[in-house]
Amino acid sequence: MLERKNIDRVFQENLKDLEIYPNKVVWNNIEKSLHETNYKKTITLWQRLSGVAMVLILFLSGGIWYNNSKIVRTSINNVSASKVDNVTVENQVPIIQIPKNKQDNLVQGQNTKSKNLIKTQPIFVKNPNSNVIVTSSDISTVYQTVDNKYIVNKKDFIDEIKNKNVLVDADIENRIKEDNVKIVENKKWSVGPTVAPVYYNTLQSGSPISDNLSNSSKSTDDALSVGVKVNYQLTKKIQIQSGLNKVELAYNTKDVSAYISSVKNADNNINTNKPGVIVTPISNLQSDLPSLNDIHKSSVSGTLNQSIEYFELPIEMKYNLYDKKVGLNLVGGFSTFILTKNSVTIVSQDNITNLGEANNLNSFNFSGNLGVDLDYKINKSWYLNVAPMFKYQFNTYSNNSGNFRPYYFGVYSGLNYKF
Amino acid sequence: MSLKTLIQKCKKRDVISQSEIYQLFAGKLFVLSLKYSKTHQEAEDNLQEAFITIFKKINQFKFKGSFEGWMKRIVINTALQTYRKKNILNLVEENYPDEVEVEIDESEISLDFLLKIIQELPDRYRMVFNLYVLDGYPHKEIASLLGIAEGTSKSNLSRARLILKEKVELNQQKQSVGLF
Repeated sequence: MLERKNIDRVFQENLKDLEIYPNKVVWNNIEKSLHETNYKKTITLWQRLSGVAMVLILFLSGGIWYNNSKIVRTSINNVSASKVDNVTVENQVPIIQIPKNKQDNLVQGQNTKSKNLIKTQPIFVKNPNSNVIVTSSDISTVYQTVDNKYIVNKKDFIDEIKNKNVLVDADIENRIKEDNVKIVENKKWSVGPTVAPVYYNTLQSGSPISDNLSNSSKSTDDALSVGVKVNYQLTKKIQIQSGLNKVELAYNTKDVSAYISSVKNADNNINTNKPGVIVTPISNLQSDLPSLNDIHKSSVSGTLNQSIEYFELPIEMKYNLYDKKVGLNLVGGFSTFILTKNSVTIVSQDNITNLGEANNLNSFNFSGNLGVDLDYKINKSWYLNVAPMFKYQFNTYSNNSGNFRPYYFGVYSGLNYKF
Repeated sequence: MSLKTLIQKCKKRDVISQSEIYQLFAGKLFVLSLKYSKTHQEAEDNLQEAFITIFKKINQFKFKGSFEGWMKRIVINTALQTYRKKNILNLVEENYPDEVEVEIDESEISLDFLLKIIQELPDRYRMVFNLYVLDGYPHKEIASLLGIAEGTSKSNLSRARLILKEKVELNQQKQSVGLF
């Protein structure tokens, strides 16, 4: 004889822990709707932020450039000024592209050709091993596996999926991988110290110090660039990086004699702020002597050293070519150099004679940067990187300075923390 | 990751956390939605609407009380909104004695059958039965939610119980006939 039971309790007890999983379309629609809302809010925020950033960057770089180019235009001929101008404009292009890339980031994972900003790849799938439900796009396959019923206990549901393996197909596995990648990508920022031995020289002969020394033999001292680097992941493939580096460069011109007049406002042939200095290669000493005899002077011979210290602010874009444990990226961008130290000296055997500060160095100048970046991922938070970079400097001098075209090559390495 | 962390991430509109929350609770909340809906399709639409509301209003959840309870209320409210839109005209009132005790034989009853007969109840009866029996709302609140008198809520409940009893017993008879 069956026991009589209150109907309320029958329903309460039976339906208590029941779980039924709806068709995947439900989540797709929810995600679509939320993404539209999120996108609208995010894009408004990004538009504001990137707008402010753009204005600041353009204002700073444009303002600096305008100031420098004014000096160039007044002091040198128009041809070289327009050359410099062109190069600068080309190198500003990456700044203008920043907001566009941010938009790309917001719609990653979808057809980039489409203007529709909704993700077409829903995130609903998780690794079956992590004891979480996996549903297919067609839930009817699940119903059929459970005696045509759409009501199943959660446990049975999972068991059915595991046993029949109906849902774990290649497509789902791919999405699981994408899902994992997206989780890693959540750490969008990285920061770390960077250090680089720097090799630098000029692409053409010439002397920024004096036309007299154009053909003299020149060398450079070893230098080190140290600083910090900040990196932001814009899209799966593109990162933008910036930072602050300090670098001290020293150009040496061998076998130089300097005659320093004690008479104020005496002629000089050196581009420094010290008056009455005549420099000449030692080999030309005899021919130059007659013109020098009639002035009161002291002379010193040795190596002419020009020391320059810069703070470098790079803005670079990094494009990922290969991304596994070891990653390979292409890097391009430009740097703004801020002159912080500037001195010209003659280093002889016994002493160092100060010839003042070079008066043709711009307080701000730029470089176009190109290189590759290799990274090694230690774990999810830390990675090492090595980046050989070539940097071609332009707008360094406020006149053509005997075709002196400085460049430098540095191998930047560092340990970076992602967050 | 704890539920609290997930909720906090959802407040920052983190899509992955939203999907985690969905996966954690979709099963339970879909059952809730099915109970309040006439069809499977209507239940899916309800659940969808409810989750969109949950994620849009998640900032209003201040960690006071259970998160699941908060979500359940949203699912029920969504179902009630659908009910109100559909039921502009009231049912013809039938008077049944308040609080009828209904008992049935306890036998193996499949879950899908139980859910099916709830869904087959007339809309108002289904709402009252769910709200009172399965989700613990008092008659006073049910009356206010559905815009009916408290007495109507009680008589609707009694009627719902009797309809359900009839269907269960009919099913049991069919099964016993099938056995012989």
